Amino acid sequence: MELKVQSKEIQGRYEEYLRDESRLIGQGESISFPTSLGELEELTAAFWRKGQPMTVQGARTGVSGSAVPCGGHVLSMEKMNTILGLANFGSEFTMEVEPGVRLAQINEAIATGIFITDKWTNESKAVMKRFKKAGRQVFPPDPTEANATIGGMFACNAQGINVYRYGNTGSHVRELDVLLVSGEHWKLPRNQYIFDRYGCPLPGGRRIETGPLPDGSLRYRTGLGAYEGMDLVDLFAGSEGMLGIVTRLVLQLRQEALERWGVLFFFDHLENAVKFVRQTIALEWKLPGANISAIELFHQNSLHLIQEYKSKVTRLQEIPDLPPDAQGAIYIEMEGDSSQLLEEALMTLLEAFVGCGGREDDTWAATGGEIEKFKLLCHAATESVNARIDEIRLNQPTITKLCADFSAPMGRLEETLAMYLEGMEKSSFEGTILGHVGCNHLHVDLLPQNHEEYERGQELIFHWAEQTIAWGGSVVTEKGIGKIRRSLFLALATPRQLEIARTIKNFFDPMGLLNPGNML
Amino acid sequence: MRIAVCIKQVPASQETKMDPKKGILIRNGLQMTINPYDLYAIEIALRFREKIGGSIAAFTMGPPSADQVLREAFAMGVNMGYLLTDRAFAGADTLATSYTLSQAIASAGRFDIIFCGRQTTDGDTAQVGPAIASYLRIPFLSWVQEIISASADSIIVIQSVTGGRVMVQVNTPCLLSVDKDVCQPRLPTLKNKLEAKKREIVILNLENMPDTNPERYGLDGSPTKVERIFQPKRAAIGRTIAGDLDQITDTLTEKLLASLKPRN
Repeated sequence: MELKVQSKEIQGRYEEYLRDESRLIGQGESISFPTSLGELEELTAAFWRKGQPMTVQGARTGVSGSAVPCGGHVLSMEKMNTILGLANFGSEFTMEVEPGVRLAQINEAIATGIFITDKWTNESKAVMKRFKKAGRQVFPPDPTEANATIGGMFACNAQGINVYRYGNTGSHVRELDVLLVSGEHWKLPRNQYIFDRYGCPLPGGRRIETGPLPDGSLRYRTGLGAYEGMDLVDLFAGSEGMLGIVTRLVLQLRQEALERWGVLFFFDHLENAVKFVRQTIALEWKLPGANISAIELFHQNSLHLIQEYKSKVTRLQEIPDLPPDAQGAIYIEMEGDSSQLLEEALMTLLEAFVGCGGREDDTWAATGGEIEKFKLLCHAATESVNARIDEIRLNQPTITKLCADFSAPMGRLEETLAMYLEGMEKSSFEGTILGHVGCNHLHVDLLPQNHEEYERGQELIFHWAEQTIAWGGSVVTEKGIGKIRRSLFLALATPRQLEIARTIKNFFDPMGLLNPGNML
Repeated sequence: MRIAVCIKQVPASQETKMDPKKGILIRNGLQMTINPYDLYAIEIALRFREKIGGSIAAFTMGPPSADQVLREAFAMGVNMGYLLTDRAFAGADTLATSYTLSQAIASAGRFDIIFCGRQTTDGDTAQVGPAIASYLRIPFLSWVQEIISASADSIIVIQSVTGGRVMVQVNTPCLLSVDKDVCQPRLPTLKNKLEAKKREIVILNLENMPDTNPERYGLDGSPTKVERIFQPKRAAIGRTIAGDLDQITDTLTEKLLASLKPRN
């Protein structure tokens, strides 16, 4: 039987599908771009019947190599990119999407209220009218890469700078459809299938048995991990496409606050920046009507790299030159419905900033749409590292991004920073530190100049990972494990964690057909 | 030195709606922002003041909600703000807008330099700056890319012209319309942005203008009327021609030849 969607050989313009933003380059035999569920089911059935593995891809914006194929077929979901409809529950709205819909597409549709509704139900169209009249909505997860697909974001459980308030992508998925290698197609509403101490009930009356599971006190679970009380939807969030192919997501939207502020505070001394972070978190309780949604750190090295990159990229010209002597900067986003309460909260923060050694003139502030300039800055922080790695790779093609993306307890914030700074200094490594300092979840990028440094960098990151785990933190966070961090994960996960992960993987994909090479 | 800056509130998005009868922009419900080109005008004015001293007044014409852009100007450091708002001003084309602004500027006293952004992102005409200068009978320089030197009496600038750049000296009072290359606009400090919300704005209505004849303003004062503004139709979805180089070339040539109309 001839398939509706044809596979193509990976050559010429399809070679870009062998890589993602990790800079890892993989191998693949063929590629296909299903445009509908019917095509997807037919295609996957054909491959899985023959036991042929495949790597499922979104926009390939990940940095862990999760979307990089290591042989077999490449299944790109980028053409399953339709917004399928809207629904509302009381004052809340949800958006139903195919996995190839990009974050930028979601945000634009919400902002403009313009949707392609040819194939929508009448019910969805009626909701769209209510949607346009309702207060402005927002999909909270905002990773800097707006080109990412929602399927990809879900696969690595992406966060974004407002993780401080809004958490990860998975927590905003209300319902999920997933195609399994068994051929079953599950619809998983949230709050219907919940893990108990020994496993989880499944659709069709079945059950997955995992043995004793930890309780839910872990803030981040390990890769393909589970805990008592976890929703089955959240098992698939962050599973890097290893358990099934997500074919539909229902996203929970939120009412956007009436007013939003973004403020960048520059510091002469990094310790003052950390002190300010602690004070801000402590003050939050005393700021009625003002919700802090982001607390981010830019270390001096990151600021310098952004400044250097800025001169080469036209669209960054609208960002003023960064203060050359700042040792660090803290970016805070705050939102609320009362201008007065927000202004009072911001005055309080400004006083705290001055109390931590800051100068009033060393701030940049923006409201509403102007905040996009700060988003641009956050994105530039990552892009500048990528650009530097690309320069290094011209002479050293084996070098890929080297990143520590770990989450440690807030009580260890000062120690975490000291650990990173000391490590980079002792090893004479060029590197940057930035990220979600409000959660002590920092991104540290090392910039090795040659293979010897690259190997030393891997050792350094391993040492950091060990220390983070000893503190009770996690080495599995929003960037995922993929292939880049696989050896780290395997070395540092406990035997029980690996056992649970393998049990889950074997249950859903006993032949290892989905996204081989990731994680396990 | 007294410096004036003309600024405008424009839609933040490219998606706009038109009143089909009047041919004017429907601003209700749109997210609005300061015209990005005006940020450069404000910034250069601030640097002028930092170097030579003086004060800066910003002028904007629009509905009452246009005070938002004056507050952004305050946040950057502008001293005074004038909002020209009156039903009589609505629907103005560039000529009527320029006349209104020139009247308001004249009513506020003599200014040594007036800065405008190169153009707005909604109208894109770049006509208002030169028209204001014409009404005020002061010299005008457009496409200013660089300020070489300035004193109370004259300014030397680099102007972009077709095929190159030219250095020009102009006496004050004068009006300069500045390009994006002229400087990098600052972001306001938190303190300035908070204080900007409380600053007083001077409201100017028709009755405050030296010329109170309503026929010189708004739709009535506009010799041009927008016939229609529309989003250009999207081209038909492109087609991909697959194959090796020879196949692609042959197919493309065939299609191009087929699309050529025969000569009469």
